[in-house]
Amino acid sequence: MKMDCNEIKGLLESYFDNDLPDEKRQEVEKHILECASCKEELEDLSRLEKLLHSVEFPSVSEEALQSYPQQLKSRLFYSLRQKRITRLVFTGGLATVAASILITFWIYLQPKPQPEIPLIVVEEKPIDFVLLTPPISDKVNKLLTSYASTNDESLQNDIEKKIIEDIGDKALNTLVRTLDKRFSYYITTKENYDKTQSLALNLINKLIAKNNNIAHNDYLINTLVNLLSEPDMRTKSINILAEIAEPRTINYLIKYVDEPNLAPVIFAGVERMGKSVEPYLVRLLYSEDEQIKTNALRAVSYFKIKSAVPTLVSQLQNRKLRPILIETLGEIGSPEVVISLFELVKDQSLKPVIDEAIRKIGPDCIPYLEPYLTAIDSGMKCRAIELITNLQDKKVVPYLIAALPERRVQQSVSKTLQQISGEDFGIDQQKWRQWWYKQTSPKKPLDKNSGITEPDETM
Amino acid sequence: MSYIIEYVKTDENSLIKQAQKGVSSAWEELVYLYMKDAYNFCLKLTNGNHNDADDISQSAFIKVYQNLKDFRGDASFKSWLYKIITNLYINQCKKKKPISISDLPADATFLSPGNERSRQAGIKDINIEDMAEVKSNDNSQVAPPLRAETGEMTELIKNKINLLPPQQKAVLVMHTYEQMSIKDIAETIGASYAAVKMNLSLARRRLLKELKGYL
Repeated sequence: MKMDCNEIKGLLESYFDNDLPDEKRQEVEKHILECASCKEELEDLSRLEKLLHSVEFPSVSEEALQSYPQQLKSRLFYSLRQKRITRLVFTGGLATVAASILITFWIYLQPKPQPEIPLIVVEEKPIDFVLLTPPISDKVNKLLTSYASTNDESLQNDIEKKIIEDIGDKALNTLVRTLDKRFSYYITTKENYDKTQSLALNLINKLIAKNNNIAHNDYLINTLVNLLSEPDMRTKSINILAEIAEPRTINYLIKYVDEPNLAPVIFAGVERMGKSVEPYLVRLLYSEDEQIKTNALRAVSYFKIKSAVPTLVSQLQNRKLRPILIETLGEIGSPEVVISLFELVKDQSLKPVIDEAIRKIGPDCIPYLEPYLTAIDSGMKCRAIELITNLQDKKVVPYLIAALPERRVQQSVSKTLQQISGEDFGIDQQKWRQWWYKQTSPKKPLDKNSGITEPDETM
Repeated sequence: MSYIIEYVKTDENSLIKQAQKGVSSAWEELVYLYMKDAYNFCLKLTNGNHNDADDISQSAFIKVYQNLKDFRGDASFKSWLYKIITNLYINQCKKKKPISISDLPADATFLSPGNERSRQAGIKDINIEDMAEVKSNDNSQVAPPLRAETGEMTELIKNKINLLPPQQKAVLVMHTYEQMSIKDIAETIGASYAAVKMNLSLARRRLLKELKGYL
């Protein structure tokens, strides 16, 4: 059946869009040849299309796109934070009600509130990787590609030189991206991967040696920290991280302190970090990971970090860790810890460590031990005497002489006195006192010999 | 020869899978891959307004980040991204008050062909050469030559497109400037084939009416 003009008009657009079955298409084509009005309408459509196509919309410039990822990143951070805050406010509201009920009950049930060890959360994970990587340089990429594809050493040296001298600091981000494990799934062969990674590490090391300012770059630090889990790359990464000496990285470096070849490098890095690393190290003492905790103790003891003392003392409740804690306290050498240590003296198994710790603290702890030397409890008194006996210092002599009547320790005290003084008065307190009096009283200005020599000089 | 950093052109699906697993670098790559297209598409929708294009495209990428786990891969990633952009754009238009004539650039009013009187008035304001050209075109029976290369004509067409309802505008932009087929558009915006065709047709009819004198 032949279609009329109105029907054809309804199909014109589909015809124009090439969206008609053949049969209808032919019919439209046939109709157009005869009907001027439909032909005009089709031509209008075609003209409109041409007119629309002649319009060019502006497109974004490459410069504008360069800052785009950075802006997107900040917006994403902001939106994620807002989400978290909303969640916190919501859950926080419920939690407050629940917590207030619980606290009321708790206070009611607890006649004496127990002191609690402060809970500090140790940051175990690296900073969140929502960070967008900075733009990379094609030039450096190409140089790295050529480096990996050749075995010619002179060419490789040239490439290294070119990157370091011609491109310099600008190459850093691209080099770091080479080390970025997140992009490793793009890389074709393992051999080339290792080769470039190793080159990138060397070059980064050189760039940092040249200009230390570029090292404090979160992307670089995060990437190096992530490389620590790869045994092949660990030593080099630790070397660079120690060079950068960013205190936050101590959380990761500390894991490798028990590897003998890495410990000196790490400790050198920690030393470079200076005072600012102390709070991070102290926080690690709360870690639930035994190995991290032990290693942190080693570092605290190596650097004699006094600010760690309260934490160490508070952890003395942990029986398992007591020996190493006492050892560390001894190394740090704060005399006031003697009081806390003395509370543990009844534990015979700890005797050698406590003795050693007090010996290391030295004569400074005498004032803290003094009250125990006159204690009524003879067990404690003897232990205190024993401890000062171990000090083997001249300052303890009066205390030792005073302790001579105590039968249980008489022999060892007398022996120590002999060692310190070189004299032997046995257990005779009186003689020791006279000797000590002679030692401490001011010397007479002249003796017999000097009396004879004086006239000689005048003669 | 093998490449280290010259990344193998990873296909979109593996990037999406990585991103869904939480590898944010894969999401980053998707951003790098599509930011230009997305931004330019937004520029067309917003009539070249960089602030709006920036806002919509970034919001779209953030939505991608937040909802990537729900992406099942029925359509392409680009379609999904465009769908998000279109929805954001339509929502933004709903929030904004309708554009009044006073918001339009000055030249848009005097070149309005629908109203012969205003057109005449407009011509008085432009220079003699233009006036002569328009007059000669009016006198001849053939269609006037396309003058999109002149800035005013381009602006006029853009303004006419901008005055279309958002749905129609989005369909027209995708079809005309993004070279997408009606089927692709239907998949992208999640509408039926017929609905897309209807929107496109309405947009064309309106533009035909508004630009009749310039065809």
